[in-house]
Amino acid sequence: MTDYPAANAPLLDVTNLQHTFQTGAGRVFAVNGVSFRIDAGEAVGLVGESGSGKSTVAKCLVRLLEPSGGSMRFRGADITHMNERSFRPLRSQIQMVFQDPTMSLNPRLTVRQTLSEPLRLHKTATNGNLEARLHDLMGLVNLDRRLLGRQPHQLSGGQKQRVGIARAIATNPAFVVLDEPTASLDMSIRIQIISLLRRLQDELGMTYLFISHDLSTVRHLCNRVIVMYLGQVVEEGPVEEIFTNPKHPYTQALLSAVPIPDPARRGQRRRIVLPGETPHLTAPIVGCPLADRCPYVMPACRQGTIPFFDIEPGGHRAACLLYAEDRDAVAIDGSAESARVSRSEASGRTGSD
Amino acid sequence: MAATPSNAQAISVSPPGSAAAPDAAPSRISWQARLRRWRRTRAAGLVGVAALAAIVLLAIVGPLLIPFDPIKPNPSVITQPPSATHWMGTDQYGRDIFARVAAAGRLDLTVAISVTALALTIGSLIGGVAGYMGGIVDDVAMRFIDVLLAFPAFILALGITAMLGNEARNVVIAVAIAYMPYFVRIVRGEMLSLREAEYAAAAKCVGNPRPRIMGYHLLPNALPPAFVQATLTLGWGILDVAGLSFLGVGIKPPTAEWGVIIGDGAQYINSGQWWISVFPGLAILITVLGFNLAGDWVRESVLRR
Amino acid sequence: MMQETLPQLNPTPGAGHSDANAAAEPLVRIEGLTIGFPDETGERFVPVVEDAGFVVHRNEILGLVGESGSGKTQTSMAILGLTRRPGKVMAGHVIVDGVDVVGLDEAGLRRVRGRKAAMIFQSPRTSLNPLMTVGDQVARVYVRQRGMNRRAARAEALAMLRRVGIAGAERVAGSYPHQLSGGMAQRVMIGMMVACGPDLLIADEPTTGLDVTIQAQIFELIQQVQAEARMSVLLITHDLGVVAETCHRVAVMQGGRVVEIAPVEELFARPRHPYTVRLLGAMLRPDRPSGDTQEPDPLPERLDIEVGGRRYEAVSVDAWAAAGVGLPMTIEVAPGHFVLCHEREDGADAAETER
Repeated sequence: MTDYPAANAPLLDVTNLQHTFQTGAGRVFAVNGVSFRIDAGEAVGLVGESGSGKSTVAKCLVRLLEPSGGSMRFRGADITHMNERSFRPLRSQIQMVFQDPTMSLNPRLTVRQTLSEPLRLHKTATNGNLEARLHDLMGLVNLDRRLLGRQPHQLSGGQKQRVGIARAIATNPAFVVLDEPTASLDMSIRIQIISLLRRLQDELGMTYLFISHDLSTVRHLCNRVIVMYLGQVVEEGPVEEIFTNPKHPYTQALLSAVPIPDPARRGQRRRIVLPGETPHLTAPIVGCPLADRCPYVMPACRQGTIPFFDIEPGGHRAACLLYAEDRDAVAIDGSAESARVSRSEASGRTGSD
Repeated sequence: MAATPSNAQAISVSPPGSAAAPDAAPSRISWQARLRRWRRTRAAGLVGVAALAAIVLLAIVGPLLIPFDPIKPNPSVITQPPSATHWMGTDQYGRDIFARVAAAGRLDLTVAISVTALALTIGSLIGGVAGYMGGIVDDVAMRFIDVLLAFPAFILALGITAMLGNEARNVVIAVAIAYMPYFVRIVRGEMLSLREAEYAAAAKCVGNPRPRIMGYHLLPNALPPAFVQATLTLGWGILDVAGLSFLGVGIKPPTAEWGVIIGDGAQYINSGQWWISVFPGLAILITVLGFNLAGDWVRESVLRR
Repeated sequence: MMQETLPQLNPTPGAGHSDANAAAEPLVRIEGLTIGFPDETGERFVPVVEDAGFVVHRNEILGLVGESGSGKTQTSMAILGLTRRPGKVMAGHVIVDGVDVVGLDEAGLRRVRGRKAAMIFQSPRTSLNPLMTVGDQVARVYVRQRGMNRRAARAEALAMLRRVGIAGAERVAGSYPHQLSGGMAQRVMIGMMVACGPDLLIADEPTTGLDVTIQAQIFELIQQVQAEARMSVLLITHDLGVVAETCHRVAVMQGGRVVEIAPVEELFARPRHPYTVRLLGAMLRPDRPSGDTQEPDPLPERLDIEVGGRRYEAVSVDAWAAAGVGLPMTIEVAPGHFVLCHEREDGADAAETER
């Protein structure tokens, strides 16, 4: 792994991140060697379906989970195994918005109490200007300041998520992890929250990592997308590149499955269906995670680690041998059946999610 | 293309969210039954509150109404039946039973509340810490609680009082220890699920230290079921304190305490002097019933939330 | 009562997909349906569905769209007589294949459920019996509904599991619900319901919690079994993308009322009710670049509609109380396109002055 000089270091640099955990049924390999960089000012979408490990990555980044391997650097500082006491000052810079505001707001606390907490803990506001700062925050997220005295059950779903966002931006963080913040909201509220997040990014210059399985919101909020499947990154690139020119077979299948709200286009799209369902991993993957479901699978796909191949200059790259510069070489190399894929029995069709 | 007004039912013009009058249908019966049940609970709860109010009134105002001392013997009026002077009669030492029952009310209510407060506080703290910390802390705490739970509460209290010596303070401690395990279990169980709550994760992300997450964010949310348990403990506490005193290992005899007074009268009840034991007995009955009925009401409203 | 239920407007064919069958009496006809739940005091009933009406034609997929609290689930439950206490149907009729379900006793409802209308739910795994193998559960349907013997029923069950796209049907038949993935469990549920041979399949957000690739497969399956069995599907969803790709007609609900019904292309191209306009405006399109996603301007609460020289206005249901509107009525603004609106006070006058 490389040591970046602090001056031109990316805001966040994740290298070969791993997270495994033990369950009654055995070891689960949730994240298997994920690497990506996020520069200041970006809004990066991390997309994938259940079992892709995207939420696990998010929880590692805010240190709700301890990585089992790899490294995470924030502004050049290694935060991978930092203890909670040393990390606490950094929490003002790395914040998270949770999926379900009903679950992530303490039901007993008023909005004022919830929002005062980060301001007090990180001494962002003094007693003197606390109230003024609270009013600022409420204004930023378009909430009436009269709601400060309310408890969560007295708020609508959209209002609750605005409080959740206000809590996250209270300390002027540089980096905010958004964990499916619109998944539990109605459609008309969803667009409001997305445009609120866009405006806040413009005004406050924050950097986002937006975790989502909802590709339409990703397209409207992010400028770059990272696609995960089975604990690995399979493709990344600028948002329009990914949506208009997806390269990895998984990304193609994923995008083709998104329903388009336009009856006129019905029947005009080719849906790419991958056989089977996402398996559960009880052993680390050798080769490409999609090998068992991919229509283009080659012997070489089941070996080693699939490297990234550049598709376009703008940072669009895919971990797929279809895009290797020298495919013949790969094919020959792949004939040596040295490593075998080790996958759980659950990869069959009765696998439970 | 034509237009036809919607059926002019009264219902169809009212905007959504407005209430429409119910009409008769089978499904309504079950709802009303439920409602009746709740109203019954509420009525019973009011009876319970009234009973408790009567006992509190007796304890506070009772001693002011009569000139008799609850402790000092008066050989001239030994074992007198209830009369205009001695409303509940006198005991074998000539002490006025009403004065003693009222004075005992002060003591017993104080003891019951102290017992419950102590058991609730300590039990919630132990349960909260064990549930939140988990691991070895939880294991040690729970094995300790298992040991305590292996004894019936009353026997445990009896043993502890015998060990500590029978003063009012020790009786409170003993009975509180006997009831604490129930609070530990309840709060620990709540804490185990709350610790996984997303707002606990959010509190951590905001930068709360662990003790603050536990004490400020989670514990208050784990307490409502413990409060329900507390209403029951108030009643049981009085029964146990009186029981211990009756057996001679609780509050010491000259003191006015319901169990002590019943004990005083126990040997006279066969010879017809029923009033010595019956009045404090009634006081216990009314108090415990009051706590239980009011407690059910509290539980009903906590569960309805 | 919805205009489209009036005789002179029937038949209203679906979206051109229908065959001669569409000219017949619709499979389901809901009229003036009002479902109430008691408020806190238990003395008054608050309507969650009010004066709702629509029809489901034979051999069509009707989408029922609305946000949470719009009453779409309550409406669909009423078709099976599944309104849960303490809620109850306070007025209206739900006529399923000639039988009014409202006020029907349990025995009568049992004849409707399964054979005439069946339902699949959001959480298939909790709708399946956890103690029985999947194969036995499907087989039981054949034994009970078709009176088959066990052996024949087992064979039919296997065939059904294959038909709903379950590979390795023999193995899956022997497994228990908890061993199935969500998508697989939903396939089994669909198989079980199709095995009943219903005329109507109600699907209430059948892909909630499923991944987008699995969701696409489930909707394709629903379309496939609908076409094969020539049954009708009432698809309850909040996802307009799903509606656009799956349904023939759409009914939009807001605040317990059906505010607009139209063939799917017509609704997306020419929404007339302000709520529908708002819903369509709030869509984040996965097939379009973001551009400047601004917080949408508050859309008008009322839209004018002119039909046959008379003026009406369609008013967002949540603004009715403030707007002081009169009796709502349903008008047909285009063939098969119905909008809930109000006659304008100045409606007739305005039309006259223009002349």
